[in-house]
Amino acid sequence: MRPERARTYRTEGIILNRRDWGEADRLITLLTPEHGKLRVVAIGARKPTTRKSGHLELFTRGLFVLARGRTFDKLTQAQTLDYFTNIRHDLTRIGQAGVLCELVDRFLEEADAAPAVYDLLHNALLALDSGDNGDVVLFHFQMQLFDLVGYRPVLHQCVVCEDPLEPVAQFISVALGGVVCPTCYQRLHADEGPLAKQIVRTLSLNALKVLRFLQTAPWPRIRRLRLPAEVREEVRTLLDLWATHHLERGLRSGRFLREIEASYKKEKKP
Amino acid sequence: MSAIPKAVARLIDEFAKLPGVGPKTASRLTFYLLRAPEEQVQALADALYELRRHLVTCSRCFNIGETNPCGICSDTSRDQATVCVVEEPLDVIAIERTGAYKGLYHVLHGAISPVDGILPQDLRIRELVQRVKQEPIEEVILATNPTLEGEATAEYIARQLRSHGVRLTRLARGLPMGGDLEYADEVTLSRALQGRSEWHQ
Repeated sequence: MRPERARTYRTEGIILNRRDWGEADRLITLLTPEHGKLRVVAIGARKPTTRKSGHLELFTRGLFVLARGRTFDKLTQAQTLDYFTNIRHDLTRIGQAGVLCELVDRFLEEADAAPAVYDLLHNALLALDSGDNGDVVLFHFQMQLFDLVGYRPVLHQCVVCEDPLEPVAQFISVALGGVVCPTCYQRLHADEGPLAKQIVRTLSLNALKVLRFLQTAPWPRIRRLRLPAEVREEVRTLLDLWATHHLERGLRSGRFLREIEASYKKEKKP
Repeated sequence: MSAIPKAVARLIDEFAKLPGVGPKTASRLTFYLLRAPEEQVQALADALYELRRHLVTCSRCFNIGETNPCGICSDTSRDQATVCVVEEPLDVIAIERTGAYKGLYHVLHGAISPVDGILPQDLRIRELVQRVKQEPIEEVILATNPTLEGEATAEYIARQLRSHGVRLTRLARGLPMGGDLEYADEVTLSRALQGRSEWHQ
């Protein structure tokens, strides 16, 4: 619930999304530690003389004063804390930060306090800004976010028979919520036939190790992770699938990121 | 059964699709038109109809106009060597209002946006690169908005045009007229400092 009583309140926040609203206003989606995700209106934010708009750019972390409104609270004051300048000069990083913010926006309900998600997002943006490997930042963020919103993949035992996993290539199912051991996959295949192939996909041992590492290791160790291209692709596809399955729709910024990467690759070749 | 006649409900629905118009405003507008004089309603209907029938997109600058090429593109007294790249047709109007610019335009019809999923290929960027190759253009002014999306778009275009030997410039960013230093954000203020110019240059 939004905090009651006081007519105005102060909060820290990160801007997840913003769109034009009415004549000269902006509707802003804000992630705050104490009040969770909020949608607030910044009145007059598109007028050139506004004192707010510079503080209301996408991804900015700032201090905000909000006044309670009927449908949306109104943003009355804004002050930037972190602008993440380096992210803004690089289209790939813009795409990656876009994915972070869109994931939070889509997974979180409005006005549910989420201090852990806030810290996670803040740290991920700091890491992107400091030049850490963008893919690794994204992977770690996704894995931790799934944990925090209740979609943690089961990676240490088989989701069907619950036996601990042998160190061999496994199978994984988004629908079942984690790793399926080869024995259970065989049984599933015998029972369900081709349907089994639709809900279960193969998982290489290396990718499983990386996923486990992302789930359990602390960030200072994860940030040094260097992945061979094929493992990176496997992990990326799987994490994207995980998000899409639970959100029931792909990410717009995910598509954006892929296109930008593809166009840069094309540019480099000739 | 709804209490509202179909024709009224239909107009309300149509109004509600417009930007900035909610269901309440839509019904207010509709009921206003029900009582408005016949000529006024007719004038509105004509204006709407004409809007699509007589307006064309200029095949050179992609601005909207009554002719193709548009008035600005076919005006030979304008500087043909300078192209100002803007996001929307409204931006052309804003710059024209200043009376300070005598070159040509190129309208992108949007800006690259990660959260809205707008990609470079959704905009008229390829056409801009073609224009730079084919026309005697010496300077491209990147006049996209000073927002994350606008900056990303400018950055992308600059990458595409860097090898074409044109001068690339960006609109100055700084303090607005009637602004207040105290309330300026750090980014605007630091840009204003970087871009400071000689007094009475």
